[in-house]
Amino acid sequence: MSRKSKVFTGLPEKKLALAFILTAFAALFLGSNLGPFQAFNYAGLNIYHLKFMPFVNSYYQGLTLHGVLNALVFTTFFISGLLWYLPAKEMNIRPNMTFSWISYFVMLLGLVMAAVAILANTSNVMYTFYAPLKGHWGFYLGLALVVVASLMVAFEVVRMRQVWKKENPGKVTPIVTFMSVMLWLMWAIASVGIVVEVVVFLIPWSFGLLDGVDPQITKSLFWWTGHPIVYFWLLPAYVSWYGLMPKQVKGELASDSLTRLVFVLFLLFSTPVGFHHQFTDPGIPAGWKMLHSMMTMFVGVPSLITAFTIGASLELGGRALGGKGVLGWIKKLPWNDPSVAGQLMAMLLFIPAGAGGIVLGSFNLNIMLHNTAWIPGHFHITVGGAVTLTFIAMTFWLLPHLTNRKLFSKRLALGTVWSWFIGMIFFSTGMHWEGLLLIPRRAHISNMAENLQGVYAGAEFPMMLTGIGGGILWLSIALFFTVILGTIFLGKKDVDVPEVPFVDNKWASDTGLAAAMDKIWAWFAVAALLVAVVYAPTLYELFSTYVSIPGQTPW
Amino acid sequence: MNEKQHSIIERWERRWLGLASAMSLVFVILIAANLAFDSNNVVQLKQRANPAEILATDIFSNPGVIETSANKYRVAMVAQTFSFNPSEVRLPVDSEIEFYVTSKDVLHGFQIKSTNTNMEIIPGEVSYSSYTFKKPGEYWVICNEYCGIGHQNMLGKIVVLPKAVYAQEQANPVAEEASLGQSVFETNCASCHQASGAGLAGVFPPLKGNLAATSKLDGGKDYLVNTALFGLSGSIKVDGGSYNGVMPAWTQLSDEEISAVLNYAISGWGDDGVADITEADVAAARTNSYSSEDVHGLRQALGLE
Ligand code: HEM
Ligand SMILES: [Cu+2]
Ligand SMILES: [Cu+2]
Repeated sequence: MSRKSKVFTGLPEKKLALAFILTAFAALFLGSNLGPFQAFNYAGLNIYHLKFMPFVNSYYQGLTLHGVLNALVFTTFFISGLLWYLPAKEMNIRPNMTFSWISYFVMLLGLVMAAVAILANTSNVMYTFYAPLKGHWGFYLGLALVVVASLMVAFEVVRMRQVWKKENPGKVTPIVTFMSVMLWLMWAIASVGIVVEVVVFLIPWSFGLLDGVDPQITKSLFWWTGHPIVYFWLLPAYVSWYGLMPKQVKGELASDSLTRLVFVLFLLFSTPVGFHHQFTDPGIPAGWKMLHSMMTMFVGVPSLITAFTIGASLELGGRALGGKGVLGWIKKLPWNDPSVAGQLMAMLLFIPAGAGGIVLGSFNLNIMLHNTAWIPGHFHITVGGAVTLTFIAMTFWLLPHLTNRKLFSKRLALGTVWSWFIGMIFFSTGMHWEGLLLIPRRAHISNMAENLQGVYAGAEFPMMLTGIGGGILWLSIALFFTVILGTIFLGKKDVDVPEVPFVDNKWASDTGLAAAMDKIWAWFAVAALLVAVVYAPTLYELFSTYVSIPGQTPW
Repeated sequence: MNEKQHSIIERWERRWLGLASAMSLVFVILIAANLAFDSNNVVQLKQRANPAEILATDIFSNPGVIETSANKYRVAMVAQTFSFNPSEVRLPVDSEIEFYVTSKDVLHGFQIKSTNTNMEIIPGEVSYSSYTFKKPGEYWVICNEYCGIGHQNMLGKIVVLPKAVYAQEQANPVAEEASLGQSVFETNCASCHQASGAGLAGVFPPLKGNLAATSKLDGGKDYLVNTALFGLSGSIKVDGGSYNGVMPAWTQLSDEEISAVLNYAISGWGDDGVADITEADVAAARTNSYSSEDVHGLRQALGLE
């Protein structure tokens, strides 16, 4: 038996986790390499007509690929691998491997179907696929399979936790598992919107069984999932920041109960806020928009608590490492560990990102910025910055852990995280600024008609920042994939193999608040009820005035 | 961390939690207060119905500007891939302007540069908001919702005039100079093929020279009529350049409009094509009901790539 398969016979989980994560990175590789071209577009440079672009016929086809592969596929694969593996490891329970492998292959099939449909130029509908833009059925079916597979993973993780609870009566769920389970329950409620949209409307429509669909209804169902999906992306990063990072910096979790509270709040408030993506939609009544706007302000609270608790946990580490003074402990953190440095920078990116999110969640301010370049500026420091950078940084211990190979090059890994951080700062500053000048998002502005030249004059400086950022990020992608491939193929075997850095959770308790929060089904029910209350009246109203609009393929 | 540190952290934690909640509450109050005093730019739904029904209403059957009462104007616009109809409106400064906008096909955006007006335009719905321009000048209307391959070129224009100038223009309307063909072209075709007929590299083929040449082929004019009526999709070559966009069908234009616009594009820009397409030709072709792929087949049958 080869050495490699020996590693995996002891721990078959490692093999599947690796499959999920490497597939995620394959999607990220394809998707993110299109990013710099888009950044150059927002710098006024049109590279598309030079035919430099293999696979892609138009800016919009490339952008659809970029959004779908990065935001939907990369994230879902990575999260499914990570938040399936960590709970299994923490509870020391063997998952049902057959079922779990099936979920992987279902997800892979979905990825292939959606990618083929986009590459064939049939589905240039963006990752939001607003009807009546009409993609190929393979696109919708593919995405549906990805979501269904992620729900299979959710099911398996919750099942493992039930088994653990039976074996450990009277104990509360271990912290990393608790966070993961809350995320999966949140996703179960959140994904109902997109599942209904795709399965009830878009798939039958793309097969020709429906003549048309209602664009306002399908869009609302999309955002039922579309907001909480950002927490589906973000919370795995929080899992690492709360549950693993403190250990990596020799700190400890500052508060067990507050950590649990944060995740309960996210379960409750992530979903009933989707109308904040629809503030300028005519079909949603202003009163309900205001309610969603209010809830959005309050969903900022758990993130603010996170800033405190994680700050405290890191400070405990920095002081244990000899840090003194009010800020001296920050310097003492292990900045030379790429996994730590990357996550610290991810946290820094999330500070302006969170502030920008509060701006966008404000009903009145959002109207100024909706669909401008500010929006991609915002989500490249959230999902493209804080989340992706955390995933990249985690990979620097996770990949050695899963493959039993030493990280290929610590220096290149450090180079990756620094260049991602700096690149995103340039890029995102430029995009936010272009947004303030009302340059629209999703627009091939470097290829404007001759009579429109000069419409966006006056934005040269922010455009330059965007372009520089895109260039730095390209370098970062190259470094990152060198490290990944180097580790897999050239990494020294069986040296320095890191364990999962589960946090010391000294202040855990099996009674009181922690026990109350461990009643996950009660919280689940409250969360479902909240969603029903904030969505039912508007959806009822829309369904009772259903309009059917035929599909269009204007590309 | 010892018990003492832990209790210190817990105390600050509670303070921070209070502070965070208070901050959110302040934000909510500020948002509500702002909207209470100024909500003209909050979009309202004026109608939700089948697009055909909406387009047949008084407001949209003849989109444009109407003075509804003293110093109050209603602007009706129809968004379609990839233009606003009308593509330019002229308005007086310091007057309340009510915008009614709907879409014929897919989602579009309606954001007026240098203002706080920003509405989503959804087929089957009429979006409404109002605005008072404080300064004369030219304001771009940007479609900021992705609507297809020509989305970046979907802009309209609002020209805001000093009141006296506006009144004078109303009193002595400049005689409509453009021919029917040219005005149909500029409203419907120019956003992709450009007013000069030069097209856009890789996506929209040039019409200048190209249609004149096609009009001379045997069956060329029939093909042009079918293209205008039913659209065209599939990859084509013109003058050595490849194009892979999609042209929508224009069955909603009248026979008169289609024949006029084709004759304009065949012989406009100084070209010497055979510009004799008649309304009867268009009426006859209407019964074909081709798909845009069928038209691509007709093109190949002519020997064009
Ligand atoms: C490698 C660096 C990257 C660069 C330079 C980059 C650049 C861009 C640019 C310029 C846009 C805006 C295009 C437009 O609105 O027309 C964009 C859109 C987008 N990017 Fe990235 N990106 C990068 C990585 C990522 C990553 C890692 C993610 C997510 C994990 C991501 C997710 C998205 C999404 C969801 C969109 C929106 C697509 C849409 O509007 O439909 N990007 N990107
Ligand atoms: Cu959101
Ligand atoms: Cu558009």
